[in-house]
Amino acid sequence: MIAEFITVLIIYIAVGTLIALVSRRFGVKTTSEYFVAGYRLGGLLAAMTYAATTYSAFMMIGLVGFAYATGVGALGFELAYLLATLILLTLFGRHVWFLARERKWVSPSEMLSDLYGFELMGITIAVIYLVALIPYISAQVIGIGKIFEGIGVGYEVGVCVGVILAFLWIVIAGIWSIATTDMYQGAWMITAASIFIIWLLAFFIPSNGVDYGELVHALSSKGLTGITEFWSLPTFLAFTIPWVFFAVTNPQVVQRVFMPANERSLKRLIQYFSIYGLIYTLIVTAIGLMARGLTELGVLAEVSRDLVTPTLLLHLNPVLASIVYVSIVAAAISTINSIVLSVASSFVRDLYERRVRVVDPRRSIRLANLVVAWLVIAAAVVAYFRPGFIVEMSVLSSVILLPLAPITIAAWLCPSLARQRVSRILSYVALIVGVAMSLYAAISLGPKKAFVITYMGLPLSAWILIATSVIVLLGFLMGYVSASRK
Amino acid sequence: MKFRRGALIYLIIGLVILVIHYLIPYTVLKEAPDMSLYMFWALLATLWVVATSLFIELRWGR
Repeated sequence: MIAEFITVLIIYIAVGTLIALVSRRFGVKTTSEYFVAGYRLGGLLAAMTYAATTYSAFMMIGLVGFAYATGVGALGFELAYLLATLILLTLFGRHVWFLARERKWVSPSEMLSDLYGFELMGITIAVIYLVALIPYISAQVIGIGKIFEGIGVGYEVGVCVGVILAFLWIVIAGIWSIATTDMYQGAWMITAASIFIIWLLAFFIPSNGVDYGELVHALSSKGLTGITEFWSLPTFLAFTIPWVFFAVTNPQVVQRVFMPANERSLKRLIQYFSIYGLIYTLIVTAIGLMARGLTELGVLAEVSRDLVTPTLLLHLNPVLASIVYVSIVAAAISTINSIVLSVASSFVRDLYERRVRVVDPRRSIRLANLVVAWLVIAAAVVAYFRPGFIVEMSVLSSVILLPLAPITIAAWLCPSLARQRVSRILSYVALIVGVAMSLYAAISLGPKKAFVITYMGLPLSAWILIATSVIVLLGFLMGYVSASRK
Repeated sequence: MKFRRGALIYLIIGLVILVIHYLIPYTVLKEAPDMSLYMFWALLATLWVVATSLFIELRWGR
């Protein structure tokens, strides 16, 4: 298995690096080209990079395990994200895309500081991205390390391969090398998932003398075809609320709406991404459910959540299993480099370019590469030492970013009111209050408990959303009153 | 930013779809004895993907 895995991995790295090198022909001379492709990304490229960035290693390991352990509810959790994202992209995508090229936005924090006319907002958001997303990037690197460890190649080797590859595919041509390798990795991910489920349906299940009726009956007898105890409504809300707003709170996806070359490309982004997301989610959850059915029928041994995919892959042909393993590495890499580039763009734009009189593009790109290197090293250090608290913080990343949802949506809806003094101050207060609530809960309860804890029947994420929305709304109402008086 | 009529209708239907996504599984299909809950969520999402695609193609910006 080690030989097959290394061979497939080398092919994956060689082809990806070749694609990244070819992407240099698009030319990167300014930070706008480095971070947002000079606003000229084609539809398919935009859609695939959106999909590969969104769907991380969590899908093939975490979501398969969730479906296995908690039943069909895992599908509802993941599809809630897709439904909400389509609504947000369709309602705001065109407007944001248009404004981004008109006002030359490069980073999402720059977008907010511009909309509110408040530089401190952008700087604060850049720091919040760092706090929220470094643990998330590290979790992806840890995922790669664990795959390597499980196969027998070594955890440290996995961490090194992960961070070097992520760094390399960023610095070769910025977003161009990321987007083109994302398209390649996205194709690899969906192909591997398809191979996996076809093998399960057409070979593994029949060859063990199991028919599908038996499988469903086994799941149903454990209540896994309905809503299990795990998916109580507060838990379902705790899991889905941060994801419902993911498209407006996470910089790596907000930034992708800036990039399409024209309206047609933007349309294709939404359409192709939705098809990709739907198919990938259905396949991944079906794999988890089938694995659980096989366990209930005694075909597979009972395993912990994170070991469902590796256990199934033990039965698959080593070459095909290696393709699936490498697809998990690809999912992690495509998420890591997109987040790193997005966070770096916030630092370069909000902390450097907006503060100097004359921008030297070459110096900006050098600075961007430096920030990228620093972020990748930070993620590698966290992944190597695995400090419990920081690693656990990865589950809270979307909760920490949640206050950005009302702040962003309000500014998109009423840009003129956002520039009123009272609106910008109260929106800033909302941001600080929301982030403070999540960090306080993380420190006092531990990140994992903070994620699912409920107060008066509602999870922390719901309270953060309510508190920040009320403050933002109040600010905009007062801004409206003050504007009407003038 | 003002929503046009088409976008407003899309928003209202989208919110209804989201409510259904949460409500039906916790009421009607809570103890589904077969794969009906899986099928329900899968079909609802498929329906929304198709509706969104059509809306974007035919009504966006109008």
